[in-house]
Amino acid sequence: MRKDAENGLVQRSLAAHSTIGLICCALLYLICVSGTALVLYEEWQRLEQPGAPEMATIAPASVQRAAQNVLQREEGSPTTTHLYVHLPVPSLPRTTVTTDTQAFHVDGDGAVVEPEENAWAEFLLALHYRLNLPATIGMTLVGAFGAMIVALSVSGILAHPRIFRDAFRLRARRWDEVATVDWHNRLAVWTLPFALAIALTGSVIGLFYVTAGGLAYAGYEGDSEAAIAPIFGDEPAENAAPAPVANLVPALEYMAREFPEVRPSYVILHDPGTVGQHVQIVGLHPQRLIFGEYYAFDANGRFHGTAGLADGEIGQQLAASVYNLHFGNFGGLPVKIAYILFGLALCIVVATGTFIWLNKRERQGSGAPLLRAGWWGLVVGVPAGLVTTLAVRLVIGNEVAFVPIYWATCLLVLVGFVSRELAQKRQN
Amino acid sequence: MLGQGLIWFALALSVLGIVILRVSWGRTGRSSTLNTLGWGTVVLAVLAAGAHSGAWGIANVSLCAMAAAGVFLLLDAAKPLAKRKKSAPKVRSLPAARRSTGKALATFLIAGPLSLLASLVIALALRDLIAATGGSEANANVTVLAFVPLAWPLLSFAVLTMRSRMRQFAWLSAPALACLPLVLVQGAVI
Repeated sequence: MRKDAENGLVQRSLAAHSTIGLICCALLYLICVSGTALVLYEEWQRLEQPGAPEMATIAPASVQRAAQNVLQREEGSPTTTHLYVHLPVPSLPRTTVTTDTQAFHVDGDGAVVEPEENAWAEFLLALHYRLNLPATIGMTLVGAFGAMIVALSVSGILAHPRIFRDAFRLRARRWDEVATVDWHNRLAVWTLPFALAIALTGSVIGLFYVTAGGLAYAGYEGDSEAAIAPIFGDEPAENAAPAPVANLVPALEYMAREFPEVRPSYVILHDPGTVGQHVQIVGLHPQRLIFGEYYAFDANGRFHGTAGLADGEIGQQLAASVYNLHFGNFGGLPVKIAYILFGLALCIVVATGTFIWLNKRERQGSGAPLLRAGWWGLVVGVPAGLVTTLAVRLVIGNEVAFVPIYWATCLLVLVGFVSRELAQKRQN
Repeated sequence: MLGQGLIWFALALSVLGIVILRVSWGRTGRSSTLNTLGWGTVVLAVLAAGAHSGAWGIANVSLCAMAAAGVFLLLDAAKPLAKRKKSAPKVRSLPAARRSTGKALATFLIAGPLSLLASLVIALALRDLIAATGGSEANANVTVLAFVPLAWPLLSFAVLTMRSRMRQFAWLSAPALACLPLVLVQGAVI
């Protein structure tokens, strides 16, 4: 009786696993491939603009000059609401000033050198974050697929009672259906902690519009900013009356003096050139998963406290750890390499899952060669699209429309595989 | 923070744990002693990493253990196979019942948007519960952000394993309806 119940659960889990997998496989594969490539986000930026000035550190006075130089360039146009200074860090040793409308690399003295040109890295980011769709729809969709990886992981384990017993059995050299099943099951079981971490954190990020929206609607009269203020901190009231640009030097000097173990990675100037302007410094904490802590200063560099991401409520620390855990930014190159390898493993798991289903159909006498060709087209086309757009970026330049090129490449490869199958069918 | 030696010790333990599991699972007969020792070593590695640097340490140890297992897998993949007739894998067949498009769409709606909605309602109720029992607003709000991505796939999977439509609705509506009063008074507590 108990065995029957167990078999029933296995059957139902397998059916659920197949259903979710088949519905999600194509976009899930795209998200996994783009996410794997995105681990090297900073490295892609360096590749796109190898001549941009690089430095290990930058003096506070140079940061101030850089901010003022960029703001001077915007005189006469609407004032930016935020000014971000990316400070040199080991993964991206560059100083870049970004406003609402433009971004510039600066040298060690704070002089503007050239505009930031990282359109391909930004395209890749948008592809992974929101499938090149508008943010609300795209991010929610990607978040939903993250949640479905959790469902696939749970159903996969329940559907395969021997999955742990056979955890080291990989008959790859058979080059047949057994090998496909082995690759799928073994890689899935050994990358399970990685897959769950990636899926849950991705889902937290992607479903933000749904969860924070629900939270805002239920408890904050629809105000999303008020809903997340207890987590990431809130902003002081605005005062748009004009004022001299804030002095960033005392804030950076305070950080170096009072928090020598913390490495500033960003200076954020809110509402520059107004009475209400204020400064936030994002500080990296060594050997922590959090993306950083917000250190708040007023326009004269007086310290006003932290948001509590490093040592506040457990929920704040957890929320601040989501990004680094998802993107693998917490342990330098070794962790990035591990993320790329496990990311590739996840891509293989998704790809082989559909091949297993196709093989099964074939054995049951209802083979689908066109579907198989289409799936091969997608498996090859998705990375081919990335390689093509990167090649176009390096050969032609920054001002290329990557989105149509990417999707056209995917489609072309897919059509190519299906056409070849059709041609073979006609020959037979 | 303890000395850096502890994190290296934890990383080494995680590899050792995987080695023990490989040895244990490679034997003809299963050894519960070796299994326990292997898993115990992995757990010890996680605890040591957690003691050294919390979540950062645990994340690194997990990556290290997975990498060690990956190396063993690749070694296994490179092994020559004993010559034998190739056979198709024994795969359990899927239920033969084919559903109509309407039924498939209904299943999609139940496992997708409705499960998501139910998860959100439960998460919002949890938030109120945490706040009402003295939890901070930050912890209560993060509960909503973190709970939905976990509850939705589990609910979705659970309803997909059910054949009866009534049962699917019961699984979603019972907890959601039970939580709804708490959600409706949100803001009154916080």
